[in-house]
Amino acid sequence: MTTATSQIKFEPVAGWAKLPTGVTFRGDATSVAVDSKDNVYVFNRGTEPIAVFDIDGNFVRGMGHGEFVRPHGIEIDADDNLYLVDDNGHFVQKRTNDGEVIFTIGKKGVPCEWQSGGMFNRPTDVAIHPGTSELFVSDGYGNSRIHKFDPDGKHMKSWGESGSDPGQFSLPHNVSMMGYDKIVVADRENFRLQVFTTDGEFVEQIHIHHPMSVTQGKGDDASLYVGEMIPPPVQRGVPGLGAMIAVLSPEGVFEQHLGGPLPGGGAAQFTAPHGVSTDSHGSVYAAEVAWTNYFSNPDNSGSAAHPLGEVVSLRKWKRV
Amino acid sequence: MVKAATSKTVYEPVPYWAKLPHPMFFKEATSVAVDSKDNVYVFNRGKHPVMIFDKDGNFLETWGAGEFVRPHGITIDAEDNLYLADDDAHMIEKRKTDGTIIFRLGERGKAAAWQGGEPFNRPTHVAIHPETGDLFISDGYGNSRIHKFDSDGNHIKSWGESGSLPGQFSLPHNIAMNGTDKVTLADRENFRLQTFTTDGEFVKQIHSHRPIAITNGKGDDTNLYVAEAGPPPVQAGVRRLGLRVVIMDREGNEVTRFGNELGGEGHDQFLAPHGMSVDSEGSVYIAEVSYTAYGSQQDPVREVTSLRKWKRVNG
Repeated sequence: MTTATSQIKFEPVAGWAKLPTGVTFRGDATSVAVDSKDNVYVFNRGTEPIAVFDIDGNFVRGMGHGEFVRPHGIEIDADDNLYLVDDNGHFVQKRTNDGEVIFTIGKKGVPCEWQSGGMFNRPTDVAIHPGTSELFVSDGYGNSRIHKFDPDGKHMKSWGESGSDPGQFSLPHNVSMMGYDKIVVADRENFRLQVFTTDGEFVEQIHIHHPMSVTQGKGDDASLYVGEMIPPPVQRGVPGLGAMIAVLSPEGVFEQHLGGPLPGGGAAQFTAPHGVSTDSHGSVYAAEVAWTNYFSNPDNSGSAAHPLGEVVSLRKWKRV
Repeated sequence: MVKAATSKTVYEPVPYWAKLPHPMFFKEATSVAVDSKDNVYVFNRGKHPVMIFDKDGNFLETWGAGEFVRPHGITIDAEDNLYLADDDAHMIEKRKTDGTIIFRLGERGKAAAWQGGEPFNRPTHVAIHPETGDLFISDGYGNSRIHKFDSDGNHIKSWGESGSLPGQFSLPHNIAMNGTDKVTLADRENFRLQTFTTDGEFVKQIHSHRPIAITNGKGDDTNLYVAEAGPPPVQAGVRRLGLRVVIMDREGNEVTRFGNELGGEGHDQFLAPHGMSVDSEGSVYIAEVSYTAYGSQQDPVREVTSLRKWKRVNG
């Protein structure tokens, strides 16, 4: 699949995920990953923490019952292993795609000291190097760090501290490979992406609105897909500010937005694109913390009126 | 007139600079301007909206009581005329230093359509071209525009819309001249500065932590001074996130900075910088909306420092 330029069209696929009765994502699909067979893994805070679907949205199986504190991020490597990031569990776990645990980094439920730079305090996401299988972990809600691990989960190095200068972070919320030699961090509360070499050397920063999620396309599609969060309360309701997916060139140049211009539950809108992934056809999946970040606010329609109801928290946009 | 600051320039806070005749109070100072004699005009939300001090902080006079809805921004031009932005009154006033009104833009209390692009919906600040006297107005809390007016207050053009791409804004909160051919905008909720030509052509964007105030140096001091707001609640208490002043050259390259790694009431700290100006000695005045951000949440509520001077002492 080729790079997604401004000319490529995407269309929302309403009702893509077909959930068996009784299975719910509520409180929220948080993140999504696609394996080499285009199966879609949704890490969520509902009944089946790891819910697997085929490319047409048919439910395949569920895994991980009772094994997570608060699902946050999921990644999949070239061999179809899963990497799960549990922020309130303070751990990162590698599993087979059948759910068998291969290793766990961090001690479940035990954070390091807040903003100390240790491992971990509410880690958020992980990126896997396609060649070496090294891990890059963004950490997170209680830290301002990127940690690098070898394929066996041994710590190699860490970098970053709190702040807004190059190489400093304010809530590193997602991390992705950018080509083979760089990683890109969604520096969420700094409203920017930051690009580093895989050794932690700062390369550049790219302005973007409140980035929550970032992923790179599959195969020949080296585009970056960035989920933008809604603006702060003072700007709520203003068009064109977040709740969209920005498609960037492999170099980080803006190509187009999916969704918008306002957040909402409509077929072509987003509320809180918290995790993004793409499949081999170049279609885009977005997991949204829709309840947490949007519909639980009584000012937003569709919220309190339906306390038991599901709200859309997983979306597919098909590349057409 | 001093030269532009360098990385070796040293600034020191001047504790208790402003001396307010009892029982006057600021409630909070929103913005500050310094005239050609280094007198300091503080636009505030107390009962005396414009208070004037000499450079040692001695009170000189006040005017404007009852004449403003919600003071927000103040600027002074090369002839010592004042430009006052009242956001909730949706108006900009040009006045003499004695308070006499020269003209008013916008109809007091009457807002243009929210995000409609017309002047004004809660305008925030004004920059004045040093030679032509043209006005550049950031607008604001209910709009996503820069408006350009000539020196008589005739509308010339407007640009910008809501969004996060180049040329789009998310709460344009302050604006300053950048030399005589450009203006630089504090695009607050986009965490960046944006520089435009005086005709509205986008030039560049510069990352900055929630820039809330911007001003330019006086005379030979060609630098820009940017005050950064603090982080959102999710990052409260984390070090090195705003609440400081960054001094940069016209291209946006940092020269130096001052403040503390954390916000607070200390003499070297900030709570909520909101407006800024520089005097002929290169000293910096920072007005803070510290009642809104902090004092109103104390029990009991209290006025906290909302005007700070940092004196340029060396370099």
